Amino acid sequence: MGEGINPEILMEDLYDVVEKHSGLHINFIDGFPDSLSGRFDVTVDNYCLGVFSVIIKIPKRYPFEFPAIYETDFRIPRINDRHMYPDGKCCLDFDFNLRILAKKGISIFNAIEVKAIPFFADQVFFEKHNHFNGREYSHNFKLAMKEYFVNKFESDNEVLIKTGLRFLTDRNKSKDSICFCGSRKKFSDCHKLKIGDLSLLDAGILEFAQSIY
Amino acid sequence: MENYYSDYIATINGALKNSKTKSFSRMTGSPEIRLSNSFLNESIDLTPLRSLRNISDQIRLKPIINQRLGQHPDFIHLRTSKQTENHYIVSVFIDITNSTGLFKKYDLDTILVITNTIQRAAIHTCVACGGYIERLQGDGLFVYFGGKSISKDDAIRGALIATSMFTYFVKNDLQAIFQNEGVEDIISTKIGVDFGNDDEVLWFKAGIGECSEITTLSLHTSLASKMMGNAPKHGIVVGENIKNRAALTPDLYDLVKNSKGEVKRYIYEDRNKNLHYTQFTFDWSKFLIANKLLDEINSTNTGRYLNQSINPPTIVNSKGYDDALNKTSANNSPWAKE
Repeated sequence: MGEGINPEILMEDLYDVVEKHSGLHINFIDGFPDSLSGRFDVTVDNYCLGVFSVIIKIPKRYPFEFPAIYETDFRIPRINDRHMYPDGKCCLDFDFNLRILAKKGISIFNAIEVKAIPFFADQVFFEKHNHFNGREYSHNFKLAMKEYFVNKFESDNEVLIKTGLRFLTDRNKSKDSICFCGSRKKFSDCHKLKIGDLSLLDAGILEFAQSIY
Repeated sequence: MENYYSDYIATINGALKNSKTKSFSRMTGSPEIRLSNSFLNESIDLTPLRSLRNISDQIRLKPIINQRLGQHPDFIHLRTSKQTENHYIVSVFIDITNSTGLFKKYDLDTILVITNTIQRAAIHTCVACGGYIERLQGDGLFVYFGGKSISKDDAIRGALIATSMFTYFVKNDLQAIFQNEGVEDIISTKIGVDFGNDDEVLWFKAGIGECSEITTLSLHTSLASKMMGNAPKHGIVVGENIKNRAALTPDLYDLVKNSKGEVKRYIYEDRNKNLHYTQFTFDWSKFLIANKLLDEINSTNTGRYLNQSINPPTIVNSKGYDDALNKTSANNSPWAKE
Protein backbone atom coordinates (compact mmCIF):
# COMPACT_ATOMS: atom_id res chain seq x y z
CA MET A 1 0.00 0.00 0.00
CA GLY A 2 1.30 3.43 -0.93
CA GLU A 3 2.31 5.93 1.71
CA GLY A 4 -0.22 8.57 2.63
CA ILE A 5 -3.24 6.33 2.00
CA ASN A 6 -5.84 6.45 4.74
CA PRO A 7 -6.49 2.74 5.34
CA GLU A 8 -9.90 3.30 6.91
CA ILE A 9 -11.21 5.30 3.98
CA LEU A 10 -9.76 2.81 1.53
CA MET A 11 -11.29 -0.19 3.32
CA GLU A 12 -14.66 1.53 3.50
CA ASP A 13 -14.45 2.18 -0.22
CA LEU A 14 -13.46 -1.44 -0.93
CA TYR A 15 -16.29 -2.80 1.21
CA ASP A 16 -18.70 -0.61 -0.77
CA VAL A 17 -17.35 -2.18 -3.94
CA VAL A 18 -17.60 -5.79 -2.78
CA GLU A 19 -21.05 -5.14 -1.35
CA LYS A 20 -22.31 -4.06 -4.75
CA HIS A 21 -20.14 -6.40 -6.84
CA SER A 22 -20.38 -9.61 -4.88
CA GLY A 23 -18.17 -11.51 -7.34
CA LEU A 24 -15.16 -9.37 -6.47
CA HIS A 25 -12.94 -10.02 -3.50
CA ILE A 26 -10.19 -8.02 -1.87
CA ASN A 27 -6.64 -9.35 -2.15
CA PHE A 28 -4.28 -8.57 0.68
CA ILE A 29 -0.52 -8.57 0.53
CA ASP A 30 1.27 -8.44 3.88
CA GLY A 31 -2.03 -7.48 5.50
CA PHE A 32 -2.66 -4.49 3.23
CA PRO A 33 -5.24 -4.38 0.45
CA ASP A 34 -3.50 -4.66 -2.90
CA SER A 35 -6.22 -5.23 -5.46
CA LEU A 36 -9.72 -6.45 -6.14
CA SER A 37 -10.25 -9.43 -8.35
CA GLY A 38 -12.89 -11.88 -9.43
CA ARG A 39 -16.10 -11.93 -11.35
CA PHE A 40 -17.37 -8.54 -12.37
CA ASP A 41 -21.07 -8.50 -13.20
CA VAL A 42 -21.89 -5.45 -15.27
CA THR A 43 -25.33 -4.78 -13.86
CA VAL A 44 -27.52 -1.84 -14.90
CA ASP A 45 -31.19 -1.42 -13.94
CA ASN A 46 -31.22 -5.01 -12.65
CA TYR A 47 -30.03 -6.36 -16.00
CA CYS A 48 -26.74 -8.20 -16.03
CA LEU A 49 -25.25 -6.89 -19.28
CA GLY A 50 -22.23 -9.15 -19.13
CA VAL A 51 -19.77 -10.91 -16.88
CA PHE A 52 -16.04 -10.29 -16.99
CA SER A 53 -13.10 -11.44 -14.93
CA VAL A 54 -11.11 -8.48 -13.74
CA ILE A 55 -8.29 -7.32 -11.52
CA ILE A 56 -8.56 -3.76 -10.21
CA LYS A 57 -5.28 -2.51 -8.82
CA ILE A 58 -5.41 -0.12 -5.92
CA PRO A 59 -3.27 2.84 -7.02
CA LYS A 60 -0.26 3.90 -4.98
CA ARG A 61 -1.52 7.47 -4.79
CA TYR A 62 -5.11 6.53 -3.94
CA PRO A 63 -7.47 8.39 -4.25
CA PHE A 64 -5.50 10.81 -6.45
CA GLU A 65 -4.69 8.29 -9.15
CA PHE A 66 -7.11 6.42 -11.39
CA PRO A 67 -7.12 2.67 -10.65
CA ALA A 68 -5.87 0.39 -13.44
CA ILE A 69 -8.39 -2.23 -14.48
CA TYR A 70 -7.32 -5.47 -16.18
CA GLU A 71 -9.52 -7.99 -17.93
CA THR A 72 -8.12 -11.43 -17.18
CA ASP A 73 -9.95 -14.11 -19.09
CA PHE A 74 -9.29 -12.97 -22.66
CA ARG A 75 -12.95 -12.39 -23.43
CA ILE A 76 -11.91 -9.12 -25.09
CA PRO A 77 -9.18 -9.44 -27.74
CA ARG A 78 -6.11 -7.54 -26.64
CA ILE A 79 -5.91 -5.17 -29.55
CA ASN A 80 -5.95 -1.40 -29.94
CA ASP A 81 -9.24 -1.45 -31.79
CA ARG A 82 -10.93 -2.97 -28.74
CA HIS A 83 -9.16 -0.46 -26.50
CA MET A 84 -7.09 -3.08 -24.75
CA TYR A 85 -3.38 -3.20 -24.04
CA PRO A 86 -1.55 -6.51 -24.59
CA ASP A 87 -1.34 -7.13 -20.82
CA GLY A 88 -5.13 -6.95 -20.48
CA LYS A 89 -5.25 -3.39 -19.19
CA CYS A 90 -8.41 -1.63 -20.27
CA CYS A 91 -8.19 1.85 -21.81
CA LEU A 92 -11.14 3.36 -20.08
CA ASP A 93 -10.90 6.91 -21.35
CA PHE A 94 -8.61 9.52 -22.81
CA ASP A 95 -5.68 10.16 -20.53
CA PHE A 96 -6.66 13.79 -19.72
CA ASN A 97 -10.14 12.81 -18.55
CA LEU A 98 -8.72 10.21 -16.17
CA ARG A 99 -6.13 12.69 -14.87
CA ILE A 100 -8.81 15.30 -14.19
CA LEU A 101 -11.02 12.76 -12.40
CA ALA A 102 -8.08 11.58 -10.30
CA LYS A 103 -6.91 15.10 -9.50
CA LYS A 104 -10.20 15.73 -7.70
CA GLY A 105 -9.82 12.37 -5.91
CA ILE A 106 -11.76 9.31 -7.01
CA SER A 107 -12.86 6.30 -5.01
CA ILE A 108 -12.53 2.81 -6.47
CA PHE A 109 -16.33 2.54 -6.23
CA ASN A 110 -16.86 5.67 -8.34
CA ALA A 111 -14.13 4.71 -10.79
CA ILE A 112 -16.04 1.49 -11.45
CA GLU A 113 -19.38 3.26 -11.73
CA VAL A 114 -18.20 6.10 -13.95
CA LYS A 115 -15.75 4.36 -16.24
CA ALA A 116 -15.60 0.56 -15.87
CA ILE A 117 -19.32 -0.16 -16.22
CA PRO A 118 -19.74 1.90 -19.44
CA PHE A 119 -16.51 0.41 -20.79
CA PHE A 120 -17.55 -3.21 -20.28
CA ALA A 121 -21.12 -2.48 -21.40
CA ASP A 122 -19.69 -1.07 -24.63
CA GLN A 123 -17.54 -4.19 -25.05
CA VAL A 124 -20.72 -6.27 -24.84
CA PHE A 125 -22.32 -3.88 -27.36
CA PHE A 126 -19.34 -4.48 -29.67
CA GLU A 127 -19.76 -8.26 -29.37
CA LYS A 128 -23.38 -7.89 -30.51
CA HIS A 129 -23.05 -5.20 -33.19
CA ASN A 130 -19.38 -5.32 -34.20
CA HIS A 131 -18.91 -1.64 -33.42
CA PHE A 132 -18.83 0.50 -30.30
CA ASN A 133 -21.78 2.59 -29.18
CA GLY A 134 -19.73 5.15 -27.27
CA ARG A 135 -17.46 7.73 -28.87
CA GLU A 136 -13.97 6.41 -29.49
CA TYR A 137 -10.84 8.48 -29.55
CA SER A 138 -8.28 8.11 -32.28
CA HIS A 139 -5.31 5.95 -31.26
CA ASN A 140 -2.89 8.67 -32.33
CA PHE A 141 -2.19 10.82 -29.29
CA LYS A 142 -2.18 14.19 -31.07
CA LEU A 143 -5.35 13.42 -33.01
CA ALA A 144 -7.02 12.12 -29.87
CA MET A 145 -6.01 15.30 -28.04
CA LYS A 146 -7.56 17.46 -30.77
CA GLU A 147 -10.77 15.40 -30.62
CA TYR A 148 -10.73 15.79 -26.88
CA PHE A 149 -10.53 19.59 -27.03
CA VAL A 150 -13.18 19.82 -29.76
CA ASN A 151 -15.45 17.86 -27.46
CA LYS A 152 -14.50 19.92 -24.44
CA PHE A 153 -14.89 23.34 -26.08
CA GLU A 154 -17.92 22.12 -28.04
CA SER A 155 -16.38 23.80 -31.06
CA ASP A 156 -13.94 22.82 -33.78
CA ASN A 157 -12.60 26.37 -34.13
CA GLU A 158 -8.87 25.81 -33.61
CA VAL A 159 -8.16 29.49 -32.98
CA LEU A 160 -10.75 29.53 -30.20
CA ILE A 161 -9.29 26.38 -28.65
CA LYS A 162 -5.74 27.69 -28.78
CA THR A 163 -6.79 31.02 -27.25
CA GLY A 164 -8.70 29.16 -24.56
CA LEU A 165 -5.70 26.98 -23.69
CA ARG A 166 -3.47 30.07 -23.56
CA PHE A 167 -6.01 31.73 -21.30
CA LEU A 168 -5.94 28.77 -18.90
CA THR A 169 -2.15 28.93 -18.58
CA ASP A 170 -2.14 32.72 -18.14
CA ARG A 171 -0.85 33.41 -14.63
CA ASN A 172 -2.22 36.96 -14.60
CA LYS A 173 -5.86 35.93 -14.98
CA SER A 174 -8.16 36.63 -12.05
CA LYS A 175 -11.58 35.36 -11.13
CA ASP A 176 -13.09 38.43 -12.77
CA SER A 177 -11.21 38.08 -16.08
CA ILE A 178 -13.24 38.48 -19.23
CA CYS A 179 -13.75 35.25 -21.18
CA PHE A 180 -11.34 34.57 -24.05
CA CYS A 181 -14.13 33.78 -26.49
CA GLY A 182 -15.12 37.41 -27.06
CA SER A 183 -18.54 37.20 -25.45
CA ARG A 184 -17.57 40.04 -23.08
CA LYS A 185 -18.92 37.99 -20.19
CA LYS A 186 -16.79 37.02 -17.22
CA PHE A 187 -14.98 33.69 -17.73
CA SER A 188 -16.72 32.31 -14.65
CA ASP A 189 -20.11 32.99 -16.26
CA CYS A 190 -19.11 31.80 -19.71
CA HIS A 191 -16.64 29.04 -20.65
CA LYS A 192 -15.68 28.03 -17.10
CA LEU A 193 -18.41 25.40 -16.97
CA LYS A 194 -17.14 23.72 -20.13
CA ILE A 195 -13.37 23.91 -19.74
CA GLY A 196 -12.79 25.03 -16.14
CA ASP A 197 -11.64 21.56 -15.06
CA LEU A 198 -8.85 21.63 -17.66
CA SER A 199 -6.94 23.87 -15.25
CA LEU A 200 -6.55 20.76 -13.07
CA LEU A 201 -4.12 19.43 -15.67
CA ASP A 202 -0.45 20.22 -15.21
CA ALA A 203 0.65 23.48 -16.84
CA GLY A 204 3.20 21.52 -18.90
CA ILE A 205 0.43 19.45 -20.49
CA LEU A 206 -1.58 22.56 -21.41
CA GLU A 207 1.50 24.21 -22.89
CA PHE A 208 2.22 21.11 -24.93
CA ALA A 209 -1.41 21.11 -26.07
CA GLN A 210 -1.06 24.68 -27.36
CA SER A 211 1.96 23.66 -29.38
CA ILE A 212 -0.04 21.27 -31.59
CA TYR A 213 -2.22 24.07 -32.96
CA MET B 1 1.37 -15.50 -2.86
CA GLU B 2 1.74 -18.29 -0.37
CA ASN B 3 0.12 -21.72 -0.67
CA TYR B 4 -2.96 -21.78 1.58
CA TYR B 5 -1.97 -25.16 2.93
CA SER B 6 1.74 -24.51 3.45
CA ASP B 7 1.46 -24.76 7.26
CA TYR B 8 -0.28 -28.12 7.00
CA ILE B 9 2.24 -29.38 4.47
CA ALA B 10 5.08 -28.27 6.74
CA THR B 11 3.55 -30.20 9.67
CA ILE B 12 3.28 -33.40 7.65
CA ASN B 13 6.77 -32.98 6.26
CA GLY B 14 8.00 -32.47 9.83
CA ALA B 15 6.33 -35.69 10.95
CA LEU B 16 7.82 -37.65 8.06
CA LYS B 17 11.27 -36.27 8.75
CA ASN B 18 10.95 -37.05 12.43
CA SER B 19 9.82 -40.57 11.62
CA LYS B 20 13.14 -41.18 9.85
CA THR B 21 15.10 -39.72 12.77
CA LYS B 22 13.21 -42.02 15.11
CA SER B 23 14.12 -45.17 13.17
CA PHE B 24 17.69 -43.94 13.35
CA SER B 25 17.47 -43.21 17.09
CA ARG B 26 16.07 -46.69 17.68
CA MET B 27 19.20 -48.11 16.08
CA THR B 28 21.51 -45.85 18.04
CA GLY B 29 19.57 -46.13 21.30
CA SER B 30 19.01 -42.35 21.61
CA PRO B 31 15.84 -41.19 23.38
CA GLU B 32 12.84 -40.78 21.06
CA ILE B 33 10.94 -37.52 20.67
CA ARG B 34 7.17 -37.90 20.79
CA LEU B 35 6.13 -35.66 17.99
CA SER B 36 2.39 -36.00 18.32
CA ASN B 37 2.21 -34.05 21.58
CA SER B 38 4.03 -31.03 20.25
CA PHE B 39 1.88 -31.05 17.13
CA LEU B 40 -1.40 -31.23 18.99
CA ASN B 41 -0.64 -27.99 20.80
CA GLU B 42 -0.12 -26.22 17.53
CA SER B 43 -3.77 -25.97 16.55
CA ILE B 44 -6.09 -26.23 19.46
CA ASP B 45 -9.16 -24.46 18.16
CA LEU B 46 -11.11 -23.98 14.97
CA THR B 47 -9.07 -21.01 13.82
CA PRO B 48 -7.27 -22.19 10.69
CA LEU B 49 -3.48 -22.26 10.69
CA ARG B 50 -1.87 -19.02 9.56
CA SER B 51 -1.58 -19.88 5.86
CA LEU B 52 -5.31 -20.62 5.49
CA ARG B 53 -6.60 -17.69 7.49
CA ASN B 54 -7.03 -15.23 4.59
CA ILE B 55 -9.43 -17.41 2.69
CA SER B 56 -12.57 -16.26 4.53
CA ASP B 57 -11.84 -12.65 3.64
CA GLN B 58 -11.13 -13.54 0.05
CA ILE B 59 -14.31 -15.47 -0.55
CA ARG B 60 -16.33 -13.26 1.78
CA LEU B 61 -17.95 -15.98 3.86
CA LYS B 62 -18.19 -15.74 7.61
CA PRO B 63 -16.74 -18.64 9.60
CA ILE B 64 -18.69 -20.12 12.54
CA ILE B 65 -15.79 -20.33 14.99
CA ASN B 66 -17.70 -21.31 18.13
CA GLN B 67 -19.09 -24.68 17.21
CA ARG B 68 -19.53 -28.03 18.90
CA LEU B 69 -20.19 -31.30 17.15
CA GLY B 70 -23.86 -32.11 16.68
CA GLN B 71 -25.09 -28.75 17.97
CA HIS B 72 -25.62 -26.38 15.09
CA PRO B 73 -25.80 -22.95 16.78
CA ASP B 74 -28.82 -21.85 14.73
CA PHE B 75 -30.88 -24.83 15.87
CA ILE B 76 -29.61 -25.20 19.43
CA HIS B 77 -33.09 -24.41 20.80
CA LEU B 78 -34.26 -27.80 19.52
CA ARG B 79 -31.99 -29.52 22.03
CA THR B 80 -34.35 -28.92 24.92
CA SER B 81 -37.63 -29.29 23.07
CA LYS B 82 -39.51 -31.87 21.10
CA GLN B 83 -40.10 -29.42 18.30
CA THR B 84 -38.85 -29.76 14.76
CA GLU B 85 -38.04 -27.05 12.29
CA ASN B 86 -37.98 -26.79 8.52
CA HIS B 87 -34.87 -25.08 7.23
CA TYR B 88 -32.71 -25.54 4.13
CA ILE B 89 -29.23 -27.07 4.37
CA VAL B 90 -26.33 -28.13 2.19
CA SER B 91 -25.01 -31.51 3.36
CA VAL B 92 -21.43 -32.46 2.61
CA PHE B 93 -19.81 -35.83 3.23
CA ILE B 94 -16.05 -35.98 2.95
CA ASP B 95 -14.33 -39.34 3.01
CA ILE B 96 -10.57 -39.70 3.18
CA THR B 97 -9.81 -43.10 1.73
CA ASN B 98 -6.87 -45.45 1.72
CA SER B 99 -5.28 -44.03 4.86
CA THR B 100 -4.86 -47.60 6.13
CA GLY B 101 -2.01 -47.79 3.60
CA LEU B 102 -0.02 -45.58 5.97
CA PHE B 103 0.27 -48.41 8.50
CA LYS B 104 2.55 -50.30 6.16
CA LYS B 105 5.14 -47.59 6.16
CA TYR B 106 4.94 -45.46 9.31
CA ASP B 107 4.65 -45.82 13.06
CA LEU B 108 1.55 -44.83 14.99
CA ASP B 109 2.86 -41.44 16.13
CA THR B 110 3.62 -40.41 12.55
CA ILE B 111 0.29 -41.69 11.25
CA LEU B 112 -1.50 -39.79 13.99
CA VAL B 113 0.11 -36.53 12.90
CA ILE B 114 -0.56 -37.18 9.21
CA THR B 115 -4.21 -38.19 9.53
CA ASN B 116 -4.91 -35.52 12.11
CA THR B 117 -3.35 -32.80 9.97
CA ILE B 118 -5.37 -33.89 6.95
CA GLN B 119 -8.55 -33.95 8.99
CA ARG B 120 -7.75 -30.58 10.51
CA ALA B 121 -7.08 -29.16 7.05
CA ALA B 122 -10.54 -30.42 6.05
CA ILE B 123 -12.16 -28.99 9.18
CA HIS B 124 -10.41 -25.64 8.84
CA THR B 125 -11.23 -25.38 5.14
CA CYS B 126 -14.91 -26.06 5.80
CA VAL B 127 -15.06 -23.71 8.78
CA ALA B 128 -13.29 -20.94 6.86
CA CYS B 129 -15.87 -21.31 4.08
CA GLY B 130 -18.78 -20.92 6.50
CA GLY B 131 -19.34 -24.63 7.17
CA TYR B 132 -20.47 -26.31 10.36
CA ILE B 133 -18.88 -29.63 11.35
CA GLU B 134 -21.72 -31.93 12.31
CA ARG B 135 -19.84 -35.15 12.88
CA LEU B 136 -16.44 -36.78 12.47
CA GLN B 137 -16.55 -40.11 10.70
CA GLY B 138 -13.25 -41.96 10.96
CA ASP B 139 -10.86 -39.84 8.98
CA GLY B 140 -13.75 -38.13 7.23
CA LEU B 141 -16.32 -35.48 8.00
CA PHE B 142 -20.00 -34.74 7.78
CA VAL B 143 -20.42 -30.98 7.33
CA TYR B 144 -23.39 -28.68 6.98
CA PHE B 145 -23.25 -25.43 5.05
CA GLY B 146 -26.03 -23.01 5.80
CA GLY B 147 -27.96 -21.57 8.68
CA LYS B 148 -30.12 -18.64 9.53
CA SER B 149 -27.65 -15.89 8.75
CA ILE B 150 -26.34 -17.22 5.44
CA SER B 151 -28.13 -17.20 2.11
CA LYS B 152 -28.78 -20.41 0.19
CA ASP B 153 -26.54 -19.28 -2.64
CA ASP B 154 -23.66 -18.45 -0.28
CA ALA B 155 -24.07 -21.80 1.48
CA ILE B 156 -23.78 -23.63 -1.84
CA ARG B 157 -20.84 -21.47 -2.89
CA GLY B 158 -19.07 -22.13 0.43
CA ALA B 159 -19.62 -25.89 0.11
CA LEU B 160 -18.28 -25.99 -3.44
CA ILE B 161 -15.25 -23.82 -2.65
CA ALA B 162 -14.36 -25.78 0.50
CA THR B 163 -14.67 -29.20 -1.13
CA SER B 164 -12.83 -28.09 -4.27
CA MET B 165 -9.97 -26.57 -2.31
CA PHE B 166 -9.61 -29.54 -0.02
CA THR B 167 -9.66 -31.98 -2.95
CA TYR B 168 -6.97 -29.89 -4.62
CA PHE B 169 -4.85 -30.04 -1.46
CA VAL B 170 -5.12 -33.84 -1.21
CA LYS B 171 -4.71 -34.52 -4.93
CA ASN B 172 -1.76 -32.20 -5.51
CA ASP B 173 0.04 -31.16 -2.35
CA LEU B 174 -0.33 -34.41 -0.40
CA GLN B 175 0.41 -36.57 -3.42
CA ALA B 176 3.59 -34.56 -3.97
CA ILE B 177 4.70 -35.15 -0.38
CA PHE B 178 4.12 -38.89 -0.55
CA GLN B 179 5.65 -39.20 -3.99
CA ASN B 180 8.82 -37.71 -2.52
CA GLU B 181 8.63 -40.47 0.05
CA GLY B 182 8.36 -43.03 -2.73
CA VAL B 183 4.73 -43.90 -1.94
CA GLU B 184 2.11 -43.68 -4.70
CA ASP B 185 -1.66 -43.50 -4.39
CA ILE B 186 -1.79 -43.46 -0.64
CA ILE B 187 -4.56 -41.03 0.28
CA SER B 188 -7.50 -39.81 -1.76
CA THR B 189 -10.83 -38.14 -1.17
CA LYS B 190 -14.43 -38.82 -2.13
CA ILE B 191 -17.00 -36.15 -1.57
CA GLY B 192 -20.79 -35.97 -1.87
CA VAL B 193 -22.70 -32.66 -1.77
CA ASP B 194 -26.43 -32.01 -1.95
CA PHE B 195 -28.87 -29.23 -1.19
CA GLY B 196 -32.24 -29.70 0.49
CA ASN B 197 -34.64 -26.76 0.41
CA ASP B 198 -36.71 -25.50 3.35
CA ASP B 199 -39.61 -27.87 2.68
CA GLU B 200 -37.31 -30.85 2.18
CA VAL B 201 -35.30 -30.70 5.42
CA LEU B 202 -36.49 -31.27 8.96
CA TRP B 203 -34.22 -30.33 11.87
CA PHE B 204 -34.70 -32.28 15.09
CA LYS B 205 -32.93 -33.70 18.11
CA ALA B 206 -31.86 -37.30 17.63
CA GLY B 207 -31.00 -39.56 20.56
CA ILE B 208 -31.67 -39.18 24.27
CA GLY B 209 -30.19 -36.93 26.95
CA GLU B 210 -26.44 -36.61 26.67
CA CYS B 211 -26.37 -39.14 23.85
CA SER B 212 -28.05 -36.77 21.45
CA GLU B 213 -27.32 -34.46 18.57
CA ILE B 214 -29.21 -31.95 16.51
CA THR B 215 -29.42 -33.25 13.00
CA THR B 216 -31.45 -33.20 9.83
CA LEU B 217 -33.91 -35.62 8.37
CA SER B 218 -33.86 -35.19 4.64
CA LEU B 219 -33.70 -37.23 1.49
CA HIS B 220 -30.94 -34.91 0.33
CA THR B 221 -28.72 -35.48 3.37
CA SER B 222 -29.03 -39.22 2.79
CA LEU B 223 -28.35 -38.78 -0.89
CA ALA B 224 -25.21 -36.71 -0.21
CA SER B 225 -23.82 -39.66 1.72
CA LYS B 226 -24.78 -42.03 -1.12
CA MET B 227 -23.17 -39.71 -3.66
CA MET B 228 -19.94 -39.79 -1.67
CA GLY B 229 -19.98 -43.55 -2.21
CA ASN B 230 -20.43 -43.05 -5.96
CA ALA B 231 -17.69 -40.44 -6.25
CA PRO B 232 -14.55 -41.45 -8.17
CA LYS B 233 -11.11 -41.09 -6.62
CA HIS B 234 -10.47 -37.38 -5.89
CA GLY B 235 -13.99 -36.69 -7.12
CA ILE B 236 -16.90 -34.57 -5.96
CA VAL B 237 -20.41 -35.72 -6.79
CA VAL B 238 -23.23 -33.17 -6.45
CA GLY B 239 -26.99 -33.51 -6.67
CA GLU B 240 -29.32 -31.98 -9.22
CA ASN B 241 -30.41 -29.34 -6.68
CA ILE B 242 -26.85 -28.00 -6.48
CA LYS B 243 -26.59 -27.85 -10.26
CA ASN B 244 -29.92 -26.04 -10.56
CA ARG B 245 -29.17 -23.47 -7.89
CA ALA B 246 -25.44 -22.79 -8.23
CA ALA B 247 -25.75 -20.78 -11.50
CA LEU B 248 -22.51 -22.17 -12.90
CA THR B 249 -21.76 -23.06 -16.49
CA PRO B 250 -22.93 -26.53 -17.56
CA ASP B 251 -19.44 -27.67 -18.53
CA LEU B 252 -18.57 -28.01 -14.83
CA TYR B 253 -20.86 -31.03 -14.56
CA ASP B 254 -20.65 -34.49 -16.04
CA LEU B 255 -22.68 -37.66 -15.62
CA VAL B 256 -21.45 -40.08 -12.99
CA LYS B 257 -19.87 -43.30 -14.24
CA ASN B 258 -19.05 -46.41 -12.25
CA SER B 259 -15.73 -48.24 -12.34
CA LYS B 260 -16.84 -50.15 -15.47
CA GLY B 261 -17.53 -46.90 -17.27
CA GLU B 262 -21.33 -47.32 -17.21
CA VAL B 263 -23.35 -44.15 -16.70
CA LYS B 264 -25.22 -43.98 -13.39
CA ARG B 265 -27.47 -41.04 -14.10
CA TYR B 266 -29.93 -41.23 -11.22
CA ILE B 267 -29.06 -41.49 -7.55
CA TYR B 268 -32.70 -41.83 -6.55
CA GLU B 269 -35.83 -42.83 -8.41
CA ASP B 270 -39.42 -43.01 -7.28
CA ARG B 271 -41.47 -44.15 -10.23
CA ASN B 272 -44.77 -43.67 -8.39
CA LYS B 273 -44.03 -39.97 -7.95
CA ASN B 274 -42.19 -39.80 -11.27
CA LEU B 275 -39.15 -38.50 -9.42
CA HIS B 276 -35.75 -39.06 -10.99
CA TYR B 277 -32.96 -37.29 -9.13
CA THR B 278 -29.73 -36.89 -11.08
CA GLN B 279 -26.20 -36.89 -9.73
CA PHE B 280 -23.26 -35.19 -11.42
CA THR B 281 -19.50 -35.27 -11.03
CA PHE B 282 -18.32 -31.75 -10.37
CA ASP B 283 -15.23 -30.44 -12.16
CA TRP B 284 -13.58 -28.86 -9.14
CA SER B 285 -10.38 -27.88 -10.94
CA LYS B 286 -12.28 -25.87 -13.56
CA PHE B 287 -14.36 -24.35 -10.80
CA LEU B 288 -11.24 -23.24 -8.93
CA ILE B 289 -9.81 -21.76 -12.11
CA ALA B 290 -13.05 -19.91 -12.88
CA ASN B 291 -13.11 -18.50 -9.37
CA LYS B 292 -9.45 -17.52 -9.59
CA LEU B 293 -8.75 -19.61 -6.50
CA LEU B 294 -6.25 -21.98 -7.99
CA ASP B 295 -3.52 -19.38 -8.26
CA GLU B 296 -4.02 -18.59 -4.65
CA ILE B 297 -3.93 -22.16 -3.44
CA ASN B 298 -0.77 -22.88 -5.30
CA SER B 299 1.28 -19.88 -6.25
CA THR B 300 3.48 -21.88 -8.61
CA ASN B 301 0.54 -22.16 -11.01
CA THR B 302 0.17 -18.42 -11.51
CA GLY B 303 -0.92 -17.58 -15.00
CA ARG B 304 -0.79 -21.14 -16.26
CA TYR B 305 -4.50 -21.58 -16.65
CA LEU B 306 -5.49 -18.12 -17.84
CA ASN B 307 -6.53 -19.28 -21.30
CA GLN B 308 -8.79 -21.98 -19.93
CA SER B 309 -10.99 -19.78 -17.80
CA ILE B 310 -14.69 -19.88 -18.26
CA ASN B 311 -16.99 -17.22 -19.60
CA PRO B 312 -20.38 -17.52 -18.01
CA PRO B 313 -23.14 -17.16 -20.62
CA THR B 314 -24.46 -13.63 -20.86
CA ILE B 315 -26.78 -13.67 -23.84
CA VAL B 316 -30.13 -12.27 -22.79
CA ASN B 317 -32.71 -10.92 -25.16
CA SER B 318 -35.20 -8.44 -23.85
CA LYS B 319 -36.04 -4.84 -24.54
CA GLY B 320 -35.09 -3.76 -21.03
CA TYR B 321 -31.72 -5.40 -21.47
CA ASP B 322 -31.11 -3.68 -24.81
CA ASP B 323 -32.16 -0.30 -23.40
CA ALA B 324 -29.83 -0.67 -20.44
CA LEU B 325 -26.99 -1.76 -22.72
CA ASN B 326 -27.48 1.08 -25.20
CA LYS B 327 -27.80 3.69 -22.49
CA THR B 328 -24.75 2.56 -20.55
CA SER B 329 -22.46 1.78 -23.45
CA ALA B 330 -23.10 5.23 -24.98
CA ASN B 331 -21.30 6.75 -21.99
CA ASN B 332 -18.10 4.96 -22.89
CA SER B 333 -15.33 7.02 -24.48
CA PRO B 334 -12.37 4.68 -24.69
CA TRP B 335 -8.93 5.38 -26.02
CA ALA B 336 -5.88 3.24 -26.62
CA LYS B 337 -2.53 4.80 -27.20
CA GLU B 338 -0.75 3.55 -30.28
